[in-house]
Amino acid sequence: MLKLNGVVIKYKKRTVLSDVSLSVKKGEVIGLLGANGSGKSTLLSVIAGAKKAESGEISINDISISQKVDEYRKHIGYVPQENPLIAELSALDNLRIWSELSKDELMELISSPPLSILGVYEFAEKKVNDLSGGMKKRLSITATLIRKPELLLMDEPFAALDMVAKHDIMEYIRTYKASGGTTIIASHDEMVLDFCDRIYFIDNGKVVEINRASGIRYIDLLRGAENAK
Amino acid sequence: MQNNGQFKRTLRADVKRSVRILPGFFLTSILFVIIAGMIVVYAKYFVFDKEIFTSVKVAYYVDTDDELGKNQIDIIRNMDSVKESAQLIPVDSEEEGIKLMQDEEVTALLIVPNDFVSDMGSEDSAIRVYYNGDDSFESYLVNDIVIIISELYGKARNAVLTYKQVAADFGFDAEAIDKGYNTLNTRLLSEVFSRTEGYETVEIDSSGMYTLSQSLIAAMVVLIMFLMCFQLTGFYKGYNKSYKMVQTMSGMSKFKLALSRLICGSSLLFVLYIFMFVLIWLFKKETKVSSIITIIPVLILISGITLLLSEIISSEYVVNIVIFLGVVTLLYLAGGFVPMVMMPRFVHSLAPWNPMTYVLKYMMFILY
Repeated sequence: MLKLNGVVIKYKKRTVLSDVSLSVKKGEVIGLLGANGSGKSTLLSVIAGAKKAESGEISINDISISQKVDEYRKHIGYVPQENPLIAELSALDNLRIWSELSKDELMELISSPPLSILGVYEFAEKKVNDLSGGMKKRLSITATLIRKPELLLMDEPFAALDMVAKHDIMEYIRTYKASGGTTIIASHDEMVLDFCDRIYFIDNGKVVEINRASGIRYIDLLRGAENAK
Repeated sequence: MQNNGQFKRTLRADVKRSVRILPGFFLTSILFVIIAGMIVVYAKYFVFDKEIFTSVKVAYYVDTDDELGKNQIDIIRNMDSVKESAQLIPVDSEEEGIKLMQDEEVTALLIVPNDFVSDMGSEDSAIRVYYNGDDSFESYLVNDIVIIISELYGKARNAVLTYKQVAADFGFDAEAIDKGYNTLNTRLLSEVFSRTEGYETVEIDSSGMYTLSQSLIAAMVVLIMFLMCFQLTGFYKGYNKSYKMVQTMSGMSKFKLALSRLICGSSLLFVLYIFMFVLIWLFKKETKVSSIITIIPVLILISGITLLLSEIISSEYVVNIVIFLGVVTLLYLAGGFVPMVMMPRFVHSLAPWNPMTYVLKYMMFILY
């Protein structure tokens, strides 16, 4: 479904990631792990089409990002680490920015499975300013999902969330996967390991897939990356 | 089509945000309008009428052989109303007067022709008024002086012509008529009756003929608009980086994102202008109603500058400081608060390069 081949990413003339090649199949949940500042978010935003790669090829369902970027982007839903919300508006008004549906139709959509798992309908009329961090993250994910993407990219979706919010979001990702959706999660949280099909680890500008059967611990990977510096 | 839909939805969201800040926006504007109104009233009644008028210099030229003309000017110079308006400075030639104008030593130059009094009524007896007309305050004062002098000469001309006619009708001899004519001239010069006839104005910029209070009101309107932008910066900065990024992914260009906010910001300023216009109109009935429409480019400009600064500068606080210092300085240098004539010479030379000079001129043009 998603293919990256020889992708090089630079930031202010410094090479952040070099020769990234990976492929993701439909329905997979992929974990992208690495220390803070390792380039997880940058890679995710490049896959999302929000930033440009220096070189290499990226495609989704054989649609190349370099040739048809608008078409490419239609297949992708991106939840950045910072919530892309407007603070003065209600949760429902924020959702309406991203959907042509009327208020009633949107309420119907978010209060029905599978989106009801995220529970946004419970605080739809509240202003974003008055929402907790967990609520905002649920809302950000819902805002992305109402556009029905095939590939969901989530940047640190569990950062600073309470257990209930984490549980609900994980629950939704499982449901999304069951319905054929594909997810890539960038995180430095070990709990991601539990429900991802495959894990990629970013180490000193390289993206390597971890063989989970080897039983290597995430903390050892991080220590190894730290020592290599 | 999909992009248009996204733009409409974004605009709808921005309109909702605008409506939410409207009450606070309106209340703050009332405070600013009250303060500005007090400044205008104070300036109009306690500053402009007494102190500043004395600083305008107007050169005049009368031929050395024309004793009668010189006497007339001396009488005018010593009139109280003229003393309050300007200093009349004698020059020895027309060229010297023009040189003084070019050096910006004087605001205007009056050329009184030879034998002006005796030729009054003929086509060659017009007093010429040279004037640059770049500044509304100065043009206002020069206009004031011209009117005062016109009244004086108009009266003299009328009386002299009447005397000549009556004397001729009664069959007086030529010597007696001339004697009476000279006596009459001297007496009439200290009186004021009619105005304007016998004058030819040269290069007067009629668009600059605004009163001091009109000029100050225009400056205050511009200042309040910019000060209200303090609230707009928060509105403009309501998009975080992620929101902009996701919008871009959805096909919204940076231009469209800016346009949506610009429309709403300008609309908020428009509502504020309607409010200010009503207040101005209550006190100055000559204010043009058409300014409700012609103000729109100014509102877009002000809103656009604020949006641009909000995009470039990360801190909302710094944006507001930049706007405040920038606008107050430029308005001051454009003669918005203190008439240009009171400014040092170098400020005069800066005025053509100051964009606020043209904003102020446009404001006065559309308001009055």
